[in-house]
Amino acid sequence: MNDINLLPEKQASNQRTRRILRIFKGSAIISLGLLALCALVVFIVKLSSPLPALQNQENALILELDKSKEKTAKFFLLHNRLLNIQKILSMREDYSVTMQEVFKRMPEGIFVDSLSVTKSEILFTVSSTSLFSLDVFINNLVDATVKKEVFQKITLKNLSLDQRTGKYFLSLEGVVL
Amino acid sequence: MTPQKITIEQSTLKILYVKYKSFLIPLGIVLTCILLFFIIIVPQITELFSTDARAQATREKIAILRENMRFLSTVPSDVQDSNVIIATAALPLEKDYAGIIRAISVASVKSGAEIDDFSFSVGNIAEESKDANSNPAINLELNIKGSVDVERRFLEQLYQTAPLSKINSFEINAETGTLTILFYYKAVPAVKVDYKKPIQPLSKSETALLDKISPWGF
Repeated sequence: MNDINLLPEKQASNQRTRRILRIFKGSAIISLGLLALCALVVFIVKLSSPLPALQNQENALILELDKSKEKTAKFFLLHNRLLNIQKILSMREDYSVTMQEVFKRMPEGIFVDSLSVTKSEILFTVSSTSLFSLDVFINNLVDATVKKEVFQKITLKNLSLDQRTGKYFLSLEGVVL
Repeated sequence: MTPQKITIEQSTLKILYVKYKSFLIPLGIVLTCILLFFIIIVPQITELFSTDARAQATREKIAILRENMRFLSTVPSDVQDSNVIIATAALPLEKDYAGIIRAISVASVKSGAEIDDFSFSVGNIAEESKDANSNPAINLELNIKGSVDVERRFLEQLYQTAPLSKINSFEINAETGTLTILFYYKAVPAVKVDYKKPIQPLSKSETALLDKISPWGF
């Protein structure tokens, strides 16, 4: 009967298993160490960052400003009011200025009988006993329109005479600039 | 060809576990470490790279907050209150009937025009303007008495009296006049105060406008 010696092969197998196990254990320790090192480095770097201190400072300033909340809101209100006032002022036509410009060009002896305004059109009727005065008035207005001082356009709507009073009536329509 | 069904007995699994138990623990530790690295460490490192930018942004915000604080401390409360009163008198926050009647009276006294009758077109009194760009207004029809020049002065005075108005149409003759006037008001839109935005001081044009309208309310 032949001897069967299995021992050296088993020993060799055990040695290989132990070596593999050592590699596994070593890898586990190295992994743990590396992880801890990375965590430590990240922690230290984060600790040295100025961000948390800056954020605290920011929060403290916001709290401080919160005491002046009413004042800040009033500033907003003021800007809002002034912006809207400016918008309204820029879109409204000042007819009194236009009227003033028309009256300025009116020679003596001419009277305004009626005046009406709708949107940008002014319709007015004047009267006078002197045709010369009316002629001067028309020429003055035409001159102002040509120079773009009062109207964009002026139209003579009517010229009539009241024989009873001897008055001439002149109706004009102007488109405001 | 039918697929073969492989079954592993529970006892086999137990034998395998006992045999490789010593390998499983280190393997588990390595895998856990890799997992933790990707779940925790990598995002932290990524965040570190953005920290500088965030710190810079925070510094800028702090500068704005400090400037806002400095600015607010330099503005006297009484001046600010008086400016708000002037501006809200010119453009009220809501329908200001008392203000309108006062404006008509003031314009009438200053121009010498005699006020006849007037009527308001109130509209829906419960409705508030939701459109930020619209300018809601109260429509007023007014009859006045006086010469043409007196009526012209009335228009002139009305334009220099708070609340803000706009002559929509008018018809005047030698003795009487009929006017359609719009009196404006505007509610303040809801706003969240953001301290991180710089508070703008009044610009030159705003200060000039305030100076222009300040006599209108008195």
